[in-house]
Amino acid sequence: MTRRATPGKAARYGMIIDLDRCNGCGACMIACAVENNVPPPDAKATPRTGLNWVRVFRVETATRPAFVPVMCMQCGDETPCVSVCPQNAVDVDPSTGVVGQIPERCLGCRYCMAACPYQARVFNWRDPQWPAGMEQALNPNVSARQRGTVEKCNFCHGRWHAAVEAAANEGKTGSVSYTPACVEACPAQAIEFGDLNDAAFAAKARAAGAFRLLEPLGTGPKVYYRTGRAEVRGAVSGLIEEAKNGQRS
Amino acid sequence: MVSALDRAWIPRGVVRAPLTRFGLWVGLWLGVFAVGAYAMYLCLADGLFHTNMDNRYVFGLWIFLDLTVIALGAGAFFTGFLLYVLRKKELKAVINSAVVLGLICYSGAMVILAVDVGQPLRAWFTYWYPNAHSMLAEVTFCITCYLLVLCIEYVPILLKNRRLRGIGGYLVFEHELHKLMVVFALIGTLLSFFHQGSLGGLFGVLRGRPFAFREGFAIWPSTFFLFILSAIAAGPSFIALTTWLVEKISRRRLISAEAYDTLARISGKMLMLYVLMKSLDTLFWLNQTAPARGFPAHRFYEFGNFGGWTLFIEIVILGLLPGLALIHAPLRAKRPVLLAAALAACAGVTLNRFVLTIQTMALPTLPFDRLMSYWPSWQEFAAFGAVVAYGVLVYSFSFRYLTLFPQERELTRAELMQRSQEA
Amino acid sequence: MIRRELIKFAGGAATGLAFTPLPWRLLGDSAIWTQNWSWMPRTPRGEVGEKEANCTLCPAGCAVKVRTCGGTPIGVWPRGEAMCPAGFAGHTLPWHPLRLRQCLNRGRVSSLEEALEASRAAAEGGLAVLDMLPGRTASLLHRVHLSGIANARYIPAPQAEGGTARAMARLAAGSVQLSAELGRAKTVLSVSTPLLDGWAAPRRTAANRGFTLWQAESWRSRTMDLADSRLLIRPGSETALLLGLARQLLQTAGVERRARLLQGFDQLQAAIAHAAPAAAAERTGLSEDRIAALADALLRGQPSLVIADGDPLGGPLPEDARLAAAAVNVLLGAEAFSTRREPPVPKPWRCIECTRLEQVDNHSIGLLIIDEPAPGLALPWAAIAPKLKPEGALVVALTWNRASYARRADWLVPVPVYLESAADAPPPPDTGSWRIAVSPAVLNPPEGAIAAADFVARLAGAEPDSAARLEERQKLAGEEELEAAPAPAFTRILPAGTDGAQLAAAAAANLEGPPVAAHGWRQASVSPLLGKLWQEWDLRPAPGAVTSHPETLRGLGWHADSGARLESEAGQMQVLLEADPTAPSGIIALSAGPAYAQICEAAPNGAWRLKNPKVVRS
Repeated sequence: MTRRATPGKAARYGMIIDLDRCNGCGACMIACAVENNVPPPDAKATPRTGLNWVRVFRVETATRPAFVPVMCMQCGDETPCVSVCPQNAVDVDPSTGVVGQIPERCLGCRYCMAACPYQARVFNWRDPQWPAGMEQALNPNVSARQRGTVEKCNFCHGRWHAAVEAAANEGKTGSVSYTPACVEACPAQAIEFGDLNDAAFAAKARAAGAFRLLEPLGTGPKVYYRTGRAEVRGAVSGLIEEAKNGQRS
Repeated sequence: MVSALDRAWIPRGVVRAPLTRFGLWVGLWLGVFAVGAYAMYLCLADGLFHTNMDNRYVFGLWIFLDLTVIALGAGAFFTGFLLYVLRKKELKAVINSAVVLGLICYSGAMVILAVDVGQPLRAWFTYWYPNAHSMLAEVTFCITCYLLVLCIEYVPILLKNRRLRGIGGYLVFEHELHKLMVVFALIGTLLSFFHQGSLGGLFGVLRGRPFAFREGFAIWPSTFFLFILSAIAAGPSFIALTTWLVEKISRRRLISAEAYDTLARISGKMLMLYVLMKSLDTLFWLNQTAPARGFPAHRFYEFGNFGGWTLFIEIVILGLLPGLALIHAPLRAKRPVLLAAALAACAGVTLNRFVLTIQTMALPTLPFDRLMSYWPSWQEFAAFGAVVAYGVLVYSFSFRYLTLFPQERELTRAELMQRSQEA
Repeated sequence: MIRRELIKFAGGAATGLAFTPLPWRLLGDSAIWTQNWSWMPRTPRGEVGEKEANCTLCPAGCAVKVRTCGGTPIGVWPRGEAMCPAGFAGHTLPWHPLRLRQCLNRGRVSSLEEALEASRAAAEGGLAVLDMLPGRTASLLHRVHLSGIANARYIPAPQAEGGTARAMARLAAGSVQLSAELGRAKTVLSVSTPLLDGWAAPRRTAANRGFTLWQAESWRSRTMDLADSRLLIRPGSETALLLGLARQLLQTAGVERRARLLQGFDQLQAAIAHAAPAAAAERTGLSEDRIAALADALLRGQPSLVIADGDPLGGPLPEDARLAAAAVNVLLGAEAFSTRREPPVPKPWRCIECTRLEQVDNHSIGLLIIDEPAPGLALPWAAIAPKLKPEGALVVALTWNRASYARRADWLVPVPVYLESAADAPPPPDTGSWRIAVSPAVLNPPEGAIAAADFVARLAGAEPDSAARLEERQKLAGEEELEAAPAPAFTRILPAGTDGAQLAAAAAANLEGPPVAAHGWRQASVSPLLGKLWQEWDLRPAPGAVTSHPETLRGLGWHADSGARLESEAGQMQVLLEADPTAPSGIIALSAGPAYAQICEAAPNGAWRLKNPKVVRS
C-alpha cells in the first residue's frame, strides 16, 4: 500500500451526520457532483448504474421516514476495499485517514465494489459526458475520470489539497481544516466534518445517540450518524438489538 | 485438394466425420462466435453499459461462468497430477483431452475477463503495481502462469500430429518436452492449487460481505480450500462427461470403461470429502462467523428467491447424492448413473459458484437496502457464447487432427474387427 | 538453410527488442492513452475567483457566491445561508441541452429584427405581456414600457402570486399585499402545499424550522414525509377539512366572540352549516378526534398559519379552499401575516396597472408576449388560448428554452439566463421583509439573446436599458429607509359577495375526473445534473412518474407501464406508470413538470384539471 508522508501531525478526518436534521433534499448529492466533476446522468442511467458519490436513502420507520446520506465511510480498520485491489489503486492516506481511489491506475475489475458493504463505490459504465459547452463549468481542481474505472467519495480531496497548499504558503504543515462540498452545501447543517484526532470532535462522535453503519463488521467507519429517534437507530444502524428493541444497547 | 489435405492431417487408424459435415459443424460455431465477437467489440469500444451489470451487481454472468469454467477446467491439472505424479496410468487415456479442455477453459476465461474489466489496456498494471494482499492479484498471477503451462503442455500434443512429426527437430523437441512433463504437471498443480484457492478466497476475504466472508487458516479463508476441493472433485466428472459427449457426437468409442470408472471413483471420493468439509464450514459460518458480524443466518435466507433451498440443493442433492453414487462401485458401473452423478457434481459446483457470486451481490448489507435481481443482457450471453464457440472449435480441430484419446485407435480397431466378424 | 536463418533472425530480433526502449515506451504510453482519450473533457484553466450574487432562479433569492475560473462560473455556493439542490447546479443553466440560443420562427432560424418587425405589426391588434415570474424589476419595466403603447396590458401569471396571501388580502382593510411570515409562525397547517419542498426559501424550512408543521394532503409528498403531524385526506376534501376546522374553532368561546364582529360571519355560518365534525371526518377520511386535535394545536400554538396555495406545477387549489383557508386564518388571529412592502420604484417610472388573466376578454389579444425567464414556470395553455384573437394573433415567447412554449408560440426569442445578465429575484412568498436580490452578469449571453424588458422597450420605441434601470433601482433601494409596514387589519372573514351555501356545496362536491394529485418540483428543470436525484437515484420522483395503488390503477383501466402517454383534450405527455402497493389508494400521484400544465385546463375555480384523461401505451 502506498504511504504518503506529510510532515507534522496527521489527521483522521471524519463526519457526524445528524439524521434528525437531514431533510433529504439532495443538495449534498448535487453539490458533490459539481465539486467533483461527476457527469450528469446519461439517458439510460438508472439508480443502479448512476454515478453518485453520496446517496440519500429514504428509510421508512415506525413513525415518519428518515433520510440517510451514505457516502464512503473512509473505513479505518481493515479497510475492505484497500486489501482487495489487485494493483494498489486504492490506498489509505496516513496523513488524513482518507481512503483514496486512483482512477489512473484502476483496472476496472470492480472487486473493491464487491468488497464494500456500504456500496459507496460507483463504476463509470460509459464515458463521462457533459452537454455541449458545460465542460467549461467543470471544477479545475478535479480531473474527470475515464470510462471503466471506479470512483467514490474522497472527502473532497481537491479541497483538502487546496487547504494544504494554502497552509503551506503560510508556512504551516500537518493537519489542516477544510470543508467538503456536501458539508458546505447541506441547508440543514446536518453534516459536521472534523478531525477525529481532535478530542472535542471525537467526543461528539461518541456521544449518546451516535452510531456507525454496520458496526459489528469491524470496518471502523469514520462517518458517524446521530439521532435521538430510537426507531431510526433501529432501522438504520444494522444492530440486531436496535432493530428489536428500538433502543441502543 | 482440401479433402486430401484434411485426410493427410487426420491421425492414422481413426475414423473422422466427412469433411462436409465437419465444415457445417465448424460454420455453425463460427456463426455463434461472430455474434459474440460483435458483442465483445461493443463492450470494449463503447463501454460496459452494454451489459446489465451495475453498481450493485459488479460481477455478473461472466464472473460466475468464469469461476465455473475454471473449476471444471481443474480436471486438467488434477489429471496431470494423478498421472504424472501419482502415476495413475489409466488416466493416460484422457490426459490429452483434459489438457485441451483446460486450455480452452482457462484461455476462454481470460478472454472474458479482458472484456469484463473496464480498462483492459491496463491489465499489465497488476504485474507492475501488484498488491500482495489481494486475492485477485494472486489469481491473475497464477492463472496467467498456469495458462502458459497449459500452452506448454499442449505443444507435445500438437507436435505428435502425423504431419508435424515428420519434421525432425519437432520430434526431438516434443520428446524432450515430454520428459519434462512431470515438472510442468507439478508446477501446474501448484499454480492451480493457488488460483483455484484464490478464486475461492476472492469471496471468502470480503469482510464487508458477511454472506461470503469465512474465517480460515492463516491468510486463507475456508473458501480457499473448499474451492480447491470442489474443483478437483468436479474436474474428473467434467472430463468423463465431455468425453462421453464427444463419443456421442463423433459416434466413436474413445476410452475404455476402466478409464470412466477411475475418473468417477476419484471424483466421488473427492466429492464426499468436499461435502463433509463444506457442511462443517457452513455450520460454523451460520452459527459463528456471520452472527459475530451482526448478520444472523436467517437474514440471508429470508428472501423468496434465495431461500435455504439453495443450501440444501447445493450440499445434499448436488453434493452428497452424486458423491454416494460415485463411490459405490456397482452404482457407478451403470453408465447412466455415472453420467447423471457426474452431471450433478458439475451442477453442484456451478451452483456453488453461482451462490458465491450472484447471491452475494443480490443480498443487501445495509439494513435499509433491498434485495436486487439481475438478468444478463444479450451482449453478456453472446460474449459467453463466443467463448463456448471458441472452445468447441478448438476442441473440434484438436479432436479431428490430434490424438486426444490414445485408446481410440485400439477401440476402433476392435470395433472394426467385431463388425467384420459379424458380417 | 534460408528457413533456419529466418527463424534465427526473428528470434534474435524479438530478444533484442526487449532491450530497446520501444516495448517499455509502448507500455507507458498505453497507460497514458487510457487516461487521455480525445473525448475526455479537459477541465478549464484560468484564474479562480469568486463573486457575490443571489440565486434568482426562484423567489427565495438565496445569497450565494459564484466561483469562477477564467471568468466562467464553475460553481455556486451558499453565502452563509442555505440553498436548494437546484441552486448548486444553477451555474450550468446556460448550457442546458434545451437552451434556446437562436431566434426561431416556427422552427426556422430567424433574427431578432424579424421577430421585432413581426411583433410591431401584430401589436396593432392589442398587445399583452404575460409575465411568468412577476415581481422582478424586469416585470416593473414591462409595465413602464407598455405605458407607451396604446391598448397594452400586463398580465402576471396567476399562480405566481401566492393563493392564500392573495385571498387574505381581500379580507384586509385597504389595498395591501400580504405575506405569510413562516418565521413568525409557531404552528403551521399546510394544505396540499409543498411547504418544505421549494415553496419557501430553504433557509427558512431546512434547518431548525421554528414551527410545528401539520401537513394535510392526499398522497405522501416530500413535505408529508417531513411534517411533524401528517393528515392523509381524501382527494378533493381540502375545503371540507378547512370548513370542518373552522367549525371546530368556532366552538371555542373567544374565537366565536371575535369572529362575530367581522363582516361575512353569516356567510361563514352558512358555509359550515353542514361541516359538523362527523361530516367533516366522513368527507376527509380523518377521525373526528384528529380534526379536533388539529384545531387545538392551531389554537394553542399561536401564532399559527394556514397555507393552502397548492402546487406550483400541479396547479393551485380551488378558490373555495383558499377562501376557507383565509377564513380559518382570520379565526386564528392571522398574526403571522404581514403587509408586504412595495418595492421602491424610482419616481419617474410610470407603470401601467396589472391586469388579471381572468379579467382579460376572450379574443382580445393580437400579440401575446410570454416572458419566461427561468425554468419551472408553467401555466395551462388552455387558460391563455381563448384570450387570443382567433385570426392573426401572434405569440412571441421570450424564453430560455426550446421546450415549453415551442409548440404554441410563433416566435421563440432567446433571453439571457441566470448569471448571463444582471437580474433580480421576485419577492419571496414566505416573508414580508423586502430586499432586492440581484444576480450579476458573469457570462456573456448567446449571440442574439435579448433581455425580455429590452425587447418590450424596443417594441415601444424606447431605449433598451434594463441593466441600467436595475442598477438605478438597486441604488435607490440601498438609500431608502425601510419603514416597518403596519400590521394588516382584517375586517372580513369571507370576501364580500361570497355565497356561504355555494362554499358548502363546493366542499361537498365530488372531484371531477380521476383523483390526480399533481405535484412538481419547480427547480427540477434547472440542470440535467439534477437527474442524479431521480434518474441516478430514487430520492425524488422523476418528472412524469405516476405512482398509484395497483387497485386504483386497475379501477381506471390504466396499466403499470414503463413507457406510456397521458393524453387529455389539451395535449399529451410522456409518463411512467408505476403500481406501488404501499401507496394510499384512491389517488394517482403524478410528478408534474412544465409539460403537465400544457395538458391541463384551468377550471372556473382556478384549479387545474385534466379533461378526459387516458393513458396510452407508447
